[in-house]
Amino acid sequence: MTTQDELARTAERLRDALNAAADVMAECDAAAVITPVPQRPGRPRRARAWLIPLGAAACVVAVIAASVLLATNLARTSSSASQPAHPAFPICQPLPAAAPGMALPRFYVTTDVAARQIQLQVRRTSDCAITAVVPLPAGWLLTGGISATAGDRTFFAAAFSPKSCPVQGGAVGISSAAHETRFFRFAVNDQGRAGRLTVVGPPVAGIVGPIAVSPDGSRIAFNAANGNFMGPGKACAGGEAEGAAIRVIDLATGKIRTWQALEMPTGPAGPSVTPGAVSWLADGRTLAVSYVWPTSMSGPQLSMAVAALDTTSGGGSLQAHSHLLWSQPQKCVFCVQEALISPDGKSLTATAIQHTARGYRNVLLQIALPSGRYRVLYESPPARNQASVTFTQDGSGQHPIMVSASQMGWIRAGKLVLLRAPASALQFSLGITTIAW
Amino acid sequence: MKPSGFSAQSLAEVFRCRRSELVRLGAFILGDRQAAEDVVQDVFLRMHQRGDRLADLDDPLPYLRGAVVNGCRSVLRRRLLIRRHAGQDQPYPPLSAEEAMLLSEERRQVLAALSRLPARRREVLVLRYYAGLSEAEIAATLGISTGTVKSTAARGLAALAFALKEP
Repeated sequence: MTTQDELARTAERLRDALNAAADVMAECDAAAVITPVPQRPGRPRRARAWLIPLGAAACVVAVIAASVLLATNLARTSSSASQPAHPAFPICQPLPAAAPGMALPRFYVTTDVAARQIQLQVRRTSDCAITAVVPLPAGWLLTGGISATAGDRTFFAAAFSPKSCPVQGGAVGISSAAHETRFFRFAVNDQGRAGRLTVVGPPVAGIVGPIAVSPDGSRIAFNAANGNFMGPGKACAGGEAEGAAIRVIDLATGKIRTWQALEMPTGPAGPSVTPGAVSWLADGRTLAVSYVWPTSMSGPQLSMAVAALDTTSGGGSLQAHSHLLWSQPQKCVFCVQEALISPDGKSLTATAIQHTARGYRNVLLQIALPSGRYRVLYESPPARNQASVTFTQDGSGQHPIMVSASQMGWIRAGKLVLLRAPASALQFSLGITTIAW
Repeated sequence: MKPSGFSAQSLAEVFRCRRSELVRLGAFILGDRQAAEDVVQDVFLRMHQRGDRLADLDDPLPYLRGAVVNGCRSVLRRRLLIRRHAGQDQPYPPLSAEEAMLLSEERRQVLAALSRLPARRREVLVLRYYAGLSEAEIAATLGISTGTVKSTAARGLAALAFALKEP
């Protein structure tokens, strides 16, 4: 006999598996566009004669669309002659003036994964216009997303390249070690023009999770539990996927330091603790790590906390080198899922879910430290299903940008001010920061 | 008279933005990504051919979803016939080996259990938990009653839970 609890858990597992599989398919679709796969000998593809009329039809549609776009762009050329030609998206609103002492970054970066080659797009905050386009090298896919330094002029991206590794017997196989993650950096000048994309730090085998760059851009932190991090070295180097851990790469020396996950002393669920998002304090040495653990073996309920890790400690136990900043109350109205610390360490910005009679609300909270008092920055209308929501914040920690299932925008006085960005970027948002400033 | 309708330009935009999503929907129902791509191509081709009627649609997505599900049913029917008579036509898995590697073992088990469900239950569960449709929307898409959607979803979920419990 299947209980209601089991059905609810199965539904949640099914939703999670389908969305994860859809994300993987979307990533690999993009990869296939970038790197055409050579036809295997002896396995001819089906002849697709029907594609000919479809191609012709698509050409007609493209010509119509191009002529309309051309007409639109011609009408706008007088005012924006130096801009690259992009279709107009009507959802970007003018940015309200910033409060004194809280200057907004002038530029932010979004991603366009639908392009033939994945592009990082530099946009001007004041009008959302694209000022530069930086393509990733051919064949590379974003994995750890993008991150900005405190100065909003240097941006980092983590990307991986799928490769095949020789395995025993001379056959070619795919394994976690077959992926190599590299870190890329580029700078933006006062006009929004981008410099060259350069590779920084050592390559790491495997796929790393979302990254956080220290305020001065000298170190990259990431949560190895989100991917299949294998360790330093090139792809195919072998090794076993390690457990949950936080790692920091020192870009000047190339050294990687590791802190192993916390182990909860007792509890019905055992010591299964998963680190989540990481964010830096302004001092560039303290890293805030959010982590979750199951409260019981039977249910999907999770508890959540944020700890401050001293990254000058050189590595070792995450528990030994960190202290607790905040933990989720046992009965939460707004149940926090992910939290980033403000650079001054005085508050957390957090995404949370509120269960109401009319459905789920996605909420963005600001939680004061150490009191734990919170205020709601943004609350979405109730929806039937929990949407995937990620967010990032600028160097001051005062201007969060939120990416939900259907919308992307910054939070201003409790209101979501929509940003102009390609819808395709949103499809890439699960677990990956697709916007940085 | 409608102030604005759907145009050939909109179709190109919908194709660009929604094709992947529809292919994934088809792939989950069929368990065969290549066949799902063919179904979606056919749907868009048909839609383009009947361009004079596009202006009737303000939002083409529900229509497209329904058309993709119908296309998938045709493929399943054909596949059943072929299997019955020739014992052939092994479908491609919805995920390649490399893509499957990117998923955890637990998620792979869930997808495998889903692929073993009867087609109707699979359709309902995919529309509910992947496309996020309400019971009424699923009923409209599949051309069945809301009650049937409810019972099919409940039975599908119970079968899935049972399959996942098995060692």
